[in-house]
Amino acid sequence: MSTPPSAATPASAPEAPAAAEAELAPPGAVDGAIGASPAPVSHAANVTAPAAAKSAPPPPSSTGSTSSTTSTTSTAKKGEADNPDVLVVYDGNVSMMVGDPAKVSTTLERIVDVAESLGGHLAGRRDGSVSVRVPSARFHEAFDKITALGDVTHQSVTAEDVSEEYHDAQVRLQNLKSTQKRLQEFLAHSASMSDMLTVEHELERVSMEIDRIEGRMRFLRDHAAFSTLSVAVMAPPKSQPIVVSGTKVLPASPRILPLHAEWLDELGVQTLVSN
Amino acid sequence: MFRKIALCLSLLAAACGPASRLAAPDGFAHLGGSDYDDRIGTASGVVVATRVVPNDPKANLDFWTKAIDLRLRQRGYEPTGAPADIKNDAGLPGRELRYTYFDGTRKNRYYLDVYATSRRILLVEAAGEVADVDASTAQVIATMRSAHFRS
Repeated sequence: MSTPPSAATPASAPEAPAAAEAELAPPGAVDGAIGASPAPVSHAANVTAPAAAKSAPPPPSSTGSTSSTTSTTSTAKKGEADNPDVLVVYDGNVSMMVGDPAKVSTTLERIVDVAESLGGHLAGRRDGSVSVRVPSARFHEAFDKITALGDVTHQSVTAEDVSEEYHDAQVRLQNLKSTQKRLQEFLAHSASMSDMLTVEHELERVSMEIDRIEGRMRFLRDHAAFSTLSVAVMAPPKSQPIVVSGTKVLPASPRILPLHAEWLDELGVQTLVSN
Repeated sequence: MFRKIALCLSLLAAACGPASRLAAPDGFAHLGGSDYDDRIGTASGVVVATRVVPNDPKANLDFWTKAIDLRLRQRGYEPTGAPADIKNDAGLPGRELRYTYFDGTRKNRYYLDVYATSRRILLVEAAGEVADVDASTAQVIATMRSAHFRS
């Protein structure tokens, strides 16, 4: 039984702003994510599925869910549009059921259509699942439209606020450029060859660090521009024939021990190539 | 004075640096990436990355190799051989896993080297389209073997 999460205020932002749980329903969650606090609001979320370390509570009813997420969507759009310095990347996971197996493929195509209509694109597709990338500013809109395509059995959204990392990088960049300038002045007034070599070595290292940080900032801006929504579409299984005694029975898929190691789910081509 | 500046800057860099590193060969650029300590790639999209995660729950290399393999197979990764024992350039024993993966549009190779100590796990991944990875297999593997804990 899930209890409705309380909307947290910006003052109760978590200690680790890099990744946090985010609720779709309460408008306050979005306000918290875009307010003065650099970190998004975090809510305690009840676990409703084995892999649901990132799960949000299921919506109380379709009508209630729609109205609350609609208000969240409009608030999110307004807030994010008002504060361009906030860089938030959403990562959503949805599992849904459709009426019969024949509808799985068409539903997957409709999901891609929704993403493309909002300025997004297909990120990957496998049997029964699809991953799309949509502009972060339109993530909630995409989420609402896509979850309306089937009966949602599991949903989760995480919000990664990279604003602080970006602003930290900006500050580090400024400091490094000041250091670079001072080193250049030192070099101009160096008396001995060994001092010149030392300063040149440091200048080279500082320049490389500046390049690295500038590259990182470019990456964060590009990374935050799009968010990912992964959807698994399933249909009720067909009825199985009764196994007659003596018939060979195929072995079940191996049971996998659930581990408290989220990095296991981050392994793979998609994360590696698109990170 | 300049030596003191150099020493301070070096100490600062060591304190703030990532937990693992790769030696980037010619043709590879440092890409960055929030999930990795180091990530490099070619213009054709072959990517090699490394990161360190805690060994939690604490287990040995056999356990983590099996856990990783089961999880990847569950997600559609197809092994191209049995896991093999390896050592990185620093002599640390590990295990290599090799897969192919179809992402809906193209077939990819996915390589993963795993090293486990009592406290940490070093993960070294490489991926790219089959043709691109096969054209630079030796370079990719050499780069993966260069990964090491920084401290």
